[in-house]
Amino acid sequence: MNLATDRKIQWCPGCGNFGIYNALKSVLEKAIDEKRVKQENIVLVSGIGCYGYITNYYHLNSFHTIHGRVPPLLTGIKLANPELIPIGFVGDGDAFAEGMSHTIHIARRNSNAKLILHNNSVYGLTTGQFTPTSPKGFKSKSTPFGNPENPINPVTLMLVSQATFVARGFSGDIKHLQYIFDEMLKHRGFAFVEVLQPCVTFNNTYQFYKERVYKLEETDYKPDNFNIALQKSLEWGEKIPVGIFYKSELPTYEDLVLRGLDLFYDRSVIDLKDIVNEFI
Amino acid sequence: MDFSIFIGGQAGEGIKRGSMLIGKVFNRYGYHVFIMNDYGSLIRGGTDYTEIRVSSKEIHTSYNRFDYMFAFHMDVFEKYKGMTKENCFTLTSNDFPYDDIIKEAQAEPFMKPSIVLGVLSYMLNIPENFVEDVIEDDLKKNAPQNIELFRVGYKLAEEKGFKPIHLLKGDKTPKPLLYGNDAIGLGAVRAGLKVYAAYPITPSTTLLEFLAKNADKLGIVALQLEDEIAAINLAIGSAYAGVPSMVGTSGAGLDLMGETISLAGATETPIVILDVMRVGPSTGAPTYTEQSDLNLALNIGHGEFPRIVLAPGDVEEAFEVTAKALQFAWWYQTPVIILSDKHISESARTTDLPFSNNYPMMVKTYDKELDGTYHRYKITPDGISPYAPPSMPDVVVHVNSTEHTEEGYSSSLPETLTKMKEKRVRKMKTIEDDFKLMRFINVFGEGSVAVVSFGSPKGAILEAIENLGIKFVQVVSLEPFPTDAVLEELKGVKKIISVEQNSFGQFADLFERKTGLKIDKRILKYDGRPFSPWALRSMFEEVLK
Repeated sequence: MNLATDRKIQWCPGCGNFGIYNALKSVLEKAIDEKRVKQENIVLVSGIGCYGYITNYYHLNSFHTIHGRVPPLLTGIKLANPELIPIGFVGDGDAFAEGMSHTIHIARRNSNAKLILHNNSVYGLTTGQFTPTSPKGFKSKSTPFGNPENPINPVTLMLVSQATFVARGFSGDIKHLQYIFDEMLKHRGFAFVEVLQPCVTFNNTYQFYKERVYKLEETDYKPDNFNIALQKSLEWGEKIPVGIFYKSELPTYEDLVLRGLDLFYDRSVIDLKDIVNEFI
Repeated sequence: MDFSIFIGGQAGEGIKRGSMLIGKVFNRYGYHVFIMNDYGSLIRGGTDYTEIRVSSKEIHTSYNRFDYMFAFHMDVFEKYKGMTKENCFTLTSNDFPYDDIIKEAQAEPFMKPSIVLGVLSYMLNIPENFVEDVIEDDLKKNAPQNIELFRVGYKLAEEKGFKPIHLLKGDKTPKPLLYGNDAIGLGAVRAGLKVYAAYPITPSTTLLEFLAKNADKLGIVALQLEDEIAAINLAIGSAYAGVPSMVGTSGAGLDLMGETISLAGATETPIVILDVMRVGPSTGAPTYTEQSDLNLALNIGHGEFPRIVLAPGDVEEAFEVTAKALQFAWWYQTPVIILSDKHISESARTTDLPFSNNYPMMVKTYDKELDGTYHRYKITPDGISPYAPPSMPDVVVHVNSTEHTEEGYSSSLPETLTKMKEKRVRKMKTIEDDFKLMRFINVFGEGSVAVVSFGSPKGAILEAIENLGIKFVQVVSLEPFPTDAVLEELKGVKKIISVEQNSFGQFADLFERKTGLKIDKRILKYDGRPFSPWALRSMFEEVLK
């Protein structure tokens, strides 16, 4: 199984997107080969940014949509046909600038979809402006005197938004990313994965992250306690934790909304006369 | 027999719900009913009223002048007393103990309309047991207390010596008394709707409530999202995944959906967008009616893409137009906008919906033998590509908001842009050609003077032109515009009058641009209140002179 298409991948050499692309590709290929998922049921959705072209590079159903609107699209897809496995890609602009509210709402809905955040803390495609995750003081083309805003912590935000699976990975560690993506795929409910990635052209954080990240699985951390997870998510400095922060299983939005309805296959004609009779 | 009943009071006094009950009584008593709700953007207080118009012949709109006036407070009476007809029977809170009756019965203020029903039934000589059956049927567990209030009203009217007339039982078979928004919902479901998504905004909210309440029976989901943008993007997702989907909103909400309507056009995703127009600009007067979103609907969304804009003229058409909108969205794989307005959506009328009509969901399906490897944006002579949802083995569906190749891969090469733009132009031409055959106008009456209009003024126009020797051409499809059909109908017509509810004359401008004809008189109304048939009639008579 090879999910690659004949499209030429057009990211800067060394771009963090390669790590994410390759890690997910191998996880999905393996899952398909092992018949854990059907290839035709996977649906990839991407927003706007350099990473957004990622849907061109997988031989899988896809919807390359507009900036910030990935989450509601994922929910619509899952509702329409629960056999589908919607996986969304978002940038830090999609998730926390243009589409901030959608990101929070899909988490608190526990819509059974996956969301992968390409977090490079800079707008690459528009050639280098700050984003909601850029550090305070960050000098960019639109903030020559330094970013005046405090950055968003995606893991903390997703935890308090009641996401049922919250993880963080580093694009420089593909093996570890594969582990996280595999767990993400297994999760039933809303799964959020932040991937720390360098933008080699406008914000090369490769060395910065490489020196700081450590794996939660290699400590005695257990991702089953919300309060501890919340505390852990605040750790950011000399050491930056990666791994699964929190995991729990709860009924999904689709379970609660569909209540057994089958929108995709059931096309029986409804007799409206019964409904209209009460209006006479 | 044609009379109008005014019931006025504060928000929270059950005027809207109570009027539906009273309307039901007259409907079952064999009369045509039209109900118009005039209310403010308030939850308590204010001066709201409802007109219940009752007639032995078919009626199409509110009359906006009253034969019976029931006012629960003096301020609502003062505000509207100028709208009574000569010999109007008036019963204000000064003349009648509405509040005391409620207090004595230990009932709630929202049950006041049941007292009115008692007074009316006495004055029109409608048998008590007939009315009580209707109350029982309509209000179910709340019926006993309302029946008690009804009896008090009836008895008090008798004691006070109100002069009764005998309203004979009419011969009309009772029909469903439906709001426009109910009809829109039913039409959508008739054509296969499965997902309705919205954010509450007057006057479209009642559709969300109607569909949510009946979701199980209708086999659909009706969802409230965090905003209009989420609503339409969710619907784009479910439509992409193969399920008929629709969103509903009003003016400001349509603005918010603009970016995604362009997305639907570019990605060729079937989606129906309902705009229930209200008074703009901005927050405007949210509970009053207007037709000022026409230009917005015709132009919303950046870039160029095929679209269809349809405007029903009444409750019955709302059903049909919505059903067809879903069919068109799926056949042409492009956004379809329905323009309703407050006067259609939140007014109720006794209506026979064409339930026997079929609106099958027709889709140009993918045939592996014929089409080869699946390409979402396959170039075809009519601009419409075979449709396939995700979940089909060996089919990969690449949908793309960036300009794309036939396979759906991103590309900004000049030949790609040219090819795809020409594909969408061809699709637009296909729609235009098909619509020429369907005409999409309604024509009433004959004469050398013609009235042209769209949407809710239809009702008042129909009543205004009666026996005047005026022809009325109602345009249902605003995009594509039925130029040929309109020109054919207006051949030999000497004067053209346009009627619409906005201050710029958006329809008149569109009409002139599309037909090359000149409108002789533009009738514009922009006070948020629907046209009165009698007022329109005298304006028409002026032109005929």
